[in-house]
Amino acid sequence: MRSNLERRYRALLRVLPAWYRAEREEEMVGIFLADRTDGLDLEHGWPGWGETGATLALSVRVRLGARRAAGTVLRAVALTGLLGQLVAAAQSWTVTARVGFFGDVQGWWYDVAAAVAFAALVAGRRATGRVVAGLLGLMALVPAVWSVAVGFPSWWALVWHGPALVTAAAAVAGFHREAPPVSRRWWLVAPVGLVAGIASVVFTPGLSTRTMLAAWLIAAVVVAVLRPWSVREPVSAT
Amino acid sequence: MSEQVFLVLTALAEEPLHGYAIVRAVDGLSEGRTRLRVGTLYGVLDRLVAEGLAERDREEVHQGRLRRYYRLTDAGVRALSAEVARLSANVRAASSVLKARGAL
Repeated sequence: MRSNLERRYRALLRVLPAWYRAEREEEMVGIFLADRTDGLDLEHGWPGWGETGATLALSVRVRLGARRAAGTVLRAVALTGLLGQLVAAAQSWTVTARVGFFGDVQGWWYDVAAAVAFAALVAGRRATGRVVAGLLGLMALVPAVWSVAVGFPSWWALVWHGPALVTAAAAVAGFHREAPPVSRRWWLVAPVGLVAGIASVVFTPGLSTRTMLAAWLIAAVVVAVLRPWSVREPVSAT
Repeated sequence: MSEQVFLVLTALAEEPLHGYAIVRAVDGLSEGRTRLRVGTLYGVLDRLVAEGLAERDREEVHQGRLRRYYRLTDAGVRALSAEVARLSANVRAASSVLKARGAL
C-alpha cells in the first residue's frame, strides 16, 4: 500500500515527461523513500523544496537536452528570432541613413543587443549570449509593461514586443551548458539576412515594421512542423 | 567537471552501483558536504551515459523495488584520471604558493 509521502512524490514526478517516468519512476521513488522510514513522515511528510527544485531542474534538462526535440525547437526559435531582429536592425539603420535622423537611442541598443546575442550564441559563448538575450528581453518587457500600464492596447504591446520576449526566453532556456554547438551555417545566414533587410527597405519601403512579425511567424511554423510535444523518446537515447 | 559529476564518477570507479548506493557513496566520499538529490542524480547519470562515461550494468529487484546498476566505461575511467591529474596539479601549485608565503 502506498503511503501519502509516496503519493506526493509520484505527483511531483509528473512534471517529468511520461516516457521518462515510464523508465525511471520506480527507481526514483525507491531512492527517495529509502531513508524515509518513519511512520509519521510517511503519513504527513512532503518531498521538500530541495528535492522539488532538483526534480523541476531535471524536467527542464530532460525536455531541453541536446537531442530533445523541444530543445532543438527552442534553439531554432531563439536563433530565428535574433536573425529577424538583425534583419529589422539592418532595415532600421538603412532608413536612418537615408533620412538622416539618429534619435532612436533605445532602438540602437535593442539592435546591438540582438547582434551581440546572435554572434555569441553562434560562436559558442553561451553564457554571454544568454545574458545579452536576457537584457534584450528586459528591454522588450519594460516598454510592454509600460504600454499596458498607461492604457495602450495590451494586444498591440504583445504583438510588438512579444516576438522579442519569446526570442529572449528561448535563448536563455535553450542555450544551457549541455546544449549542442550551433551550426556554422548561421554565420552564412546572418549576412544574407542583413543584405535582404537593406534591400527590402531600398526597394520596398514600409516592409521593416513587419519583419519581426514575419520572424515570429516563421518560428511558430518551425514549432508547428516539428511538434516537440508529440515526441516519445526512450531514456537510452540520451 | 562539476564536483557532483566528479564524485559520481569516483563512486562508480570502485564497482557498479545502483542509484541509492551512489547517493550514499557520494555522501561518504564528500564527508557529508555533497548530498545528491534524486533529480540531480539522474541529471548527472543521464549526462554521463550520453557522454559515454558510464553505462547501465544490470537490474535487480530489492524489496519489491527496481534497482538499476551503473558502471564506469573505459572513457569514464580516462575522464576521471584526467580530472584527478588536473586537480592534483592545481593542488601542487596552490600548496607551493602557500608554502612560500609561510601559510602552509
